[in-house]
Amino acid sequence: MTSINGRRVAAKTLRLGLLLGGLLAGIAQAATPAECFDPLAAPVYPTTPDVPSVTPQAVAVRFLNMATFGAGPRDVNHLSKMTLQAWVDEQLAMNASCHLAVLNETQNNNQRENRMEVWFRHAVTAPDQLRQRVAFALSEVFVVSDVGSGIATNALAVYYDILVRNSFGNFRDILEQVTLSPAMGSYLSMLHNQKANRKLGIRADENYAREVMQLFTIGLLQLDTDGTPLLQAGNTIPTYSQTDVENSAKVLTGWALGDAVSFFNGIDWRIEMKPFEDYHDRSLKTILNNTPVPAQGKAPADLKILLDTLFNHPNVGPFIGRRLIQRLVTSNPSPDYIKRVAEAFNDNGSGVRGDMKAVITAVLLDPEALGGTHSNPKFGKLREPLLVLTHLWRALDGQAADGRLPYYYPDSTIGQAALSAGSVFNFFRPDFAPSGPINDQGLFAPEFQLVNDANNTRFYNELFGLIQWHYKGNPYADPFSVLININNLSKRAKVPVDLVNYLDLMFTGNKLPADVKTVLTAYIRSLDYKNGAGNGVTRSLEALYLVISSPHYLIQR
Amino acid sequence: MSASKHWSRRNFLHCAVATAAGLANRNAALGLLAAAQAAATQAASQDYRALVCIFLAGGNDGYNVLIPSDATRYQTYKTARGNLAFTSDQLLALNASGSDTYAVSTNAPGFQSLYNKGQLAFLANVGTLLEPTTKKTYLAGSNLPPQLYSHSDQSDQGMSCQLDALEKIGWGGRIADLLGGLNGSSVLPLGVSVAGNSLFQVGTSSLPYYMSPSGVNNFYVTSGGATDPRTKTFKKMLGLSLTNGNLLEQELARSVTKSIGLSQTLISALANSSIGTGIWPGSYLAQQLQMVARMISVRNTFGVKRQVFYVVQGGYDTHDGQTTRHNALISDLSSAMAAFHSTMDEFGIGTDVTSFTLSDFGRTLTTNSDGSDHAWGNVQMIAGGSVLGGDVYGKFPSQIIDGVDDASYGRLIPTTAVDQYGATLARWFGASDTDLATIFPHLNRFGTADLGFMNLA
Repeated sequence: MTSINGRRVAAKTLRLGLLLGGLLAGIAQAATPAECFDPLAAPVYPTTPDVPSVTPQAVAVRFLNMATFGAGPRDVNHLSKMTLQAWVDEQLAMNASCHLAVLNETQNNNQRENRMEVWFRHAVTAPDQLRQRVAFALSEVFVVSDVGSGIATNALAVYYDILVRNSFGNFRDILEQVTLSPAMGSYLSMLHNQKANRKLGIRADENYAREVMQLFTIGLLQLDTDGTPLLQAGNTIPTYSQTDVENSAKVLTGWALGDAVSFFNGIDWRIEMKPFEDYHDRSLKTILNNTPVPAQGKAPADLKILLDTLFNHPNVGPFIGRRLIQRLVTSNPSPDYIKRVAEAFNDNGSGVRGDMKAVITAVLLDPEALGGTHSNPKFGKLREPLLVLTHLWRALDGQAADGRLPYYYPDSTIGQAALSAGSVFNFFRPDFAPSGPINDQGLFAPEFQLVNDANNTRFYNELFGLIQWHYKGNPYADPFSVLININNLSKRAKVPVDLVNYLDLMFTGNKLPADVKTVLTAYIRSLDYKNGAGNGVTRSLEALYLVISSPHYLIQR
Repeated sequence: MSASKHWSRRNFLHCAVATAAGLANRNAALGLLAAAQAAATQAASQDYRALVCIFLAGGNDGYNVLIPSDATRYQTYKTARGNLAFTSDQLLALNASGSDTYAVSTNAPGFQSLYNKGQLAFLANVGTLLEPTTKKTYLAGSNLPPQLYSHSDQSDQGMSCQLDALEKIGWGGRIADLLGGLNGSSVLPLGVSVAGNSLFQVGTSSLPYYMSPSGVNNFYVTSGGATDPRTKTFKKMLGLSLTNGNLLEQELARSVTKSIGLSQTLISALANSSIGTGIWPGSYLAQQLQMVARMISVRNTFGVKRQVFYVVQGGYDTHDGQTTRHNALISDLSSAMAAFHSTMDEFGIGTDVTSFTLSDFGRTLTTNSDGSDHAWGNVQMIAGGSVLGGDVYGKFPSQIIDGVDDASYGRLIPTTAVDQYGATLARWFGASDTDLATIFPHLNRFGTADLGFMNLA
């Protein structure tokens, strides 16, 4: 009796990574889902229509910087031949590039370096850019991280693919698949959460119950459709109470790994968790908004009531809408913008709630997103470190000689790596504001949570090395590192103003102020066009670095 | 394929610019002993004080750091904590001053030794409060801290002590606002963070300097010096962002300009720094505290008389696997704090430097099978030569589940406010009564503003 109890209690401490860490080689790999591209095939990009330009190039660049991992010449040309709506529709119809399938083609699908390389390869080269970009945004809302969690690398790729495959699906499906994924189960300890047992002196684990409400669906305060907090006698109104957390924790008991035969065994990281009714709390539970979860309910039925209740809460539209706007478009959307996105979440026009296609379209094609500072003087956001790198490489065809993107340690070089935030609160919080004018005006700038003296030095220096050293044609650069191709720059470098104009177009969408361009052009002109590095090389590298390191580029507007 | 094979950053560093930081580190290592001696001789009797905030991110289970060990209360502890409880053979006794006795776990010999030397005090059941709160007022829901039990909100509230009017200003920052003048015209801000951005050190007019535990690097782009055309162009462009940019562009330009301005000063100063001659553990927290020690060792270079440092140890959100994870964390914390304070003693400034812990919140006494959940009142540690250590301050709560101090499942209602905790530290640091009223605007809602754990003589 004691030993059984002892084992029951101890087993939850066997974290997923320990269970799964040594698995890969021996275990058959997960089947590639039908809607994924063939991982072995070269990326297939949609054919660009041979028609006169429809969308100006600068507009295309600006839009692609919101909707993709950064504008590059091919995408700019492609989008310029169609309307923004047509481009979005084309992207929404595309198959997914799935990460696990590609990771499985590497020598070791449980090596973190390979996960990073596969992530960068998708970000920089995948044709389904909008899907990939939205998936990354979702990964910063539904946060799972390898920092301090011990979650196996391949389990993280399985998790990331849930976001990739469902980016254009329904929010309710994302919520359920995230909830039942072994990675999230391990990260927020719903895996092996069990009902209260007086004899063992244990009760349900509140971790996932709290964070699924606070961070993934409804947040802390009741919101109007436009995202502003509702007030009662001048006070904000909490969305849930501690009792709601405790009771939701009971609802979320009874889940084990999908191949488990008894509650605490099982090793399969590829499939959804599965219920063990003996460990599920079957008492009557009252959750959010006094919703009853009837007695004697089984774990899946109880879970459905909880997730339906959360999904149908009026907060989800403005809560998730604001987060997606912040990740893709701007830090301080107007309440009306949030409201339009929330309304698209509430009803896609055909009576469907949670349709991500409608939400994404509303986020990207909103007049405020397209109008920028003309529509809202507070428009703009700081580019995340990862998005600066992916943009650099997309604009200048960055890759290694073997076509891979072996950039293994972005967390230590630029302070950010996919699925590697410090906690479930992401790399930065939606309401972060640096002290000073931004905070004084009641505005937010989430990405500035990563800006400080130590990170500035590291980031500026890393960019310096990636540009001044890692370019094709540098005889000293390792050809198997990511190298940029500066041909499009050096061929313009004879006329400095042409070079500066091209960089301005391709990186900022012509947002560099005239005086900044004058200063930059004068410096480029002062450099020899011909020198030992090759014609135009020095001019190209200098101009590129000075544009990318400029606040006028790093703030995206 | 190996990672290093395709990664030529190392080559780049060797071939190109700026190995200044590397050189500085080597110098630091070579000059270790000499610098330690210098630090010791420049020490005593000068007017210098430093506070070191050790933030335990995620919510430390403080009631498994300080454990009541007298028979009655230990039994209560054991019942409340279930399978999270330490057995009696996992306890290290602390010197007793009365019939109520305490212990730490065998993971924390550093705490035992600091405590028994009189250099470590515990503050029991401290937490975020809007006003004195009892179980009765808690159950009535009257005037409670907003968003109790939420990580983000409770850490912000503990760092700001301005719960009902959160203005994103921390009490470490307000200390810097008010006492920064003591540092004269020093270019180094009063606050130094070795752990990134935190609300704690943000003031109305003060911002900390942010450094990494490995030191400070030069900016490659300006490494050619002030007259280099590249440097001039870079700075001119930055200047145009500062003057003509939008709000966000100006903010970034301001931050980068500040970083560049200070980097060379820091590099030069740290070249003469010391971490003392003692043995430091290898944990990440210990690396951060080593950097604090190095900065303190060169304080005279900067001409600073007051410094507030900020370091973080993460991983305390132990909803599962608590026994293993928390034991490892406390072992690292205890050994890092012991090494840090013994270095301060070696520098001859043991009484001038005080470290203290903060955390999101405490954790439930009850177990969720192998972990604990978010709670409220907590135990904090204060260490240093000016701490009236070897004692437990505040009111150690009843650990009876559903008892007088329990909100639910062993979420203990704090009996001391973070405001009082901070005010006791700030007073030692040099804040006047007027300053304290500004730094902790709610201080007068609570009992004493001096909890007695600091030697103010």
